[in-house]
Amino acid sequence: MTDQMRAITALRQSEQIYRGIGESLDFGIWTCDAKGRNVYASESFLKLIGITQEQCAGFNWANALHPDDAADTSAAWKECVRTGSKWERVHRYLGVDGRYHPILARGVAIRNERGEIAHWAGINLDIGEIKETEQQLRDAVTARDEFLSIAAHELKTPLTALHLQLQLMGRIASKENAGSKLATLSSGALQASNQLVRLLDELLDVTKIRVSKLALEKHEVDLRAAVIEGVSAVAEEARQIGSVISINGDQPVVGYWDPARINQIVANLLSNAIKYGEGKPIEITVEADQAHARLLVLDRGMGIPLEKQPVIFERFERATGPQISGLGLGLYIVRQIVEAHGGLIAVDSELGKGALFIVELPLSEREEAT
Amino acid sequence: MTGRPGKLLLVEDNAVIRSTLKDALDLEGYEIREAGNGREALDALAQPPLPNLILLDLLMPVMDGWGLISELKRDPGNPLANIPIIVVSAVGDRTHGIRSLVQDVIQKPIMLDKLIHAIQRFCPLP
Repeated sequence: MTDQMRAITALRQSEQIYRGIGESLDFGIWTCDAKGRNVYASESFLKLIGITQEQCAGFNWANALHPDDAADTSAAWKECVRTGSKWERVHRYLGVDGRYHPILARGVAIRNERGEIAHWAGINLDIGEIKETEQQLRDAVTARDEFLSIAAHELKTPLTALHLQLQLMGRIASKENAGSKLATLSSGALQASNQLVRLLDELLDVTKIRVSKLALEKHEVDLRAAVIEGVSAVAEEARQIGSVISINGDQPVVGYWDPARINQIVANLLSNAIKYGEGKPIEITVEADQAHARLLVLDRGMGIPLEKQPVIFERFERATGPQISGLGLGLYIVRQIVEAHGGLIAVDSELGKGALFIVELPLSEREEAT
Repeated sequence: MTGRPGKLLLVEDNAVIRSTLKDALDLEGYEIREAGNGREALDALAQPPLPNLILLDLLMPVMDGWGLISELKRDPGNPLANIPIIVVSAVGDRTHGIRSLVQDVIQKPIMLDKLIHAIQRFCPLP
C-alpha cells in the first residue's frame, strides 16, 4: 500500500466517523463552502425535508423554511458568512410530514493557514420536544392564572354578602348594647372578614397584573388627604400594638393619579409598617418638588436584611419567616401600581433599626381626554 | 310619606347583598325600594314618587348598570336624568366612561360606613 493510498483510506475512515457522529443526533451535521453554499447535510436532515445529498448544493433553503423565518434566516446567514462570526439560529423547517420542525442551527467558520474562511461546519439540533415542553409550561402558567382569576372572582360575591352582613350585625349589636358578647363577637368576625377581603383583593390584583396591565383611572388626588384617610383607617390596629403614627407635611400634594390605587399604596405601606414596626412610632412624610410627589413611610421595627431588600418587591417574597401572615403580594402590587403611574419605589433599611419606604410619583398634568 | 327626603332606589341583582343593604339603610332611617336589574329599576321609576338617590350595581342580568345610566341620561329634560346616582360595583377599573355621569363610585366589597357617608352627602336626612 502506497503512502498515498494509506492517506486516502485514513481520510475515508475519518469521514465515516464524522458522518457517523452526524447520524447519531437529530438532525445531524452540515458543512458549507466558503461562500456559505451547502455541500453536505446528514441523512436524517435530508430525510426530514425530503431532498437528496446531490440536491443540497443548489437547494433554495428559503423554500423549506417557515415563511415567517425565511427572510430573516437568509439575511442573517449572508451577514454571518460576510463577517465570519458564529452561527446560531432557531428556525422552523417544513418536514415531508407537512409539519414545521423547530431546529437550532449552530456553526463556525473553519479557516485555512492564511486565516481565510475555507468552510463552514455545524449542527442542526431537533428542539421540537423542548419547544413543546416550553409551550406546555406556558399553557400551565396561563391555566393557573385563569384559575386564580376565576376562583377569586367567584369567591368575591359570597364574601361581599358575608362581609356586608357582618357589618350590619355589628352595627345592630353595638346599637343595642355596645359592650355585649354579641358586639365583641361580631367585631372579631368583621376583622377576620376584613382580612379575607384584603387577601382576595391581592389575589385579584395579581391576576389582573399577570393577565393584562393595570388599568388606571386617573383623577385629581390629594396624596396628603389619602394618607390622612389611610392613617385613620388603621388607627385602631396601630393603637392595639402601641404604634403612634405621625404625619409630616402640612400642604396638600395634588396629582393626577388613580385614587383607589393611591389608597392601596398608602394602606399597604401602612399595614407593613404596623406589622413589622414592633409597636414603635411610625412616621409618614408627604412632600413634593416641581415634578414629583414623594411619600415616605418610616418604621423603627425589625428592619429588612440587606440580602432580602432587592427581592421584597417580587411576587410571593417576604422579608420574614412564616410567623407573620400574608401572601407576600403586597409590595409586589404596590410596585406594579407605582410603576404603572410612571413612578419609583425604593427601600432603605438596616436590620433591627426599621425600614424607610420611599414612593415617588410624577406630578404630571391632567392628560388630554381621548 | 310623599315628599319626605331619604327615598332610595337600590338596584342590585344579588338578593343577599340587596336585602342586607336594605336592612342597613332602613336602620339609618332611609326608605328603600328595590330592583333586581336595570329593567326592574325603570319599572320602579315609572311609579311615583321618584327616589332622591339611586344606588346602582353595574354587573346585572337583563339590563346592566351601564344600560340603565344611558337610558336615564338620554333626555336631559326628563326628571329621571337628574336623580343622583351612586355606583356600587366590583368593577372598579371599568367605570371610566360613566364617572362623569354619576355622583360617586363605591368599590365592592362594600364598607357600610363609607357607603352611608356617601349617601348622606347627596341625600341628607333631616
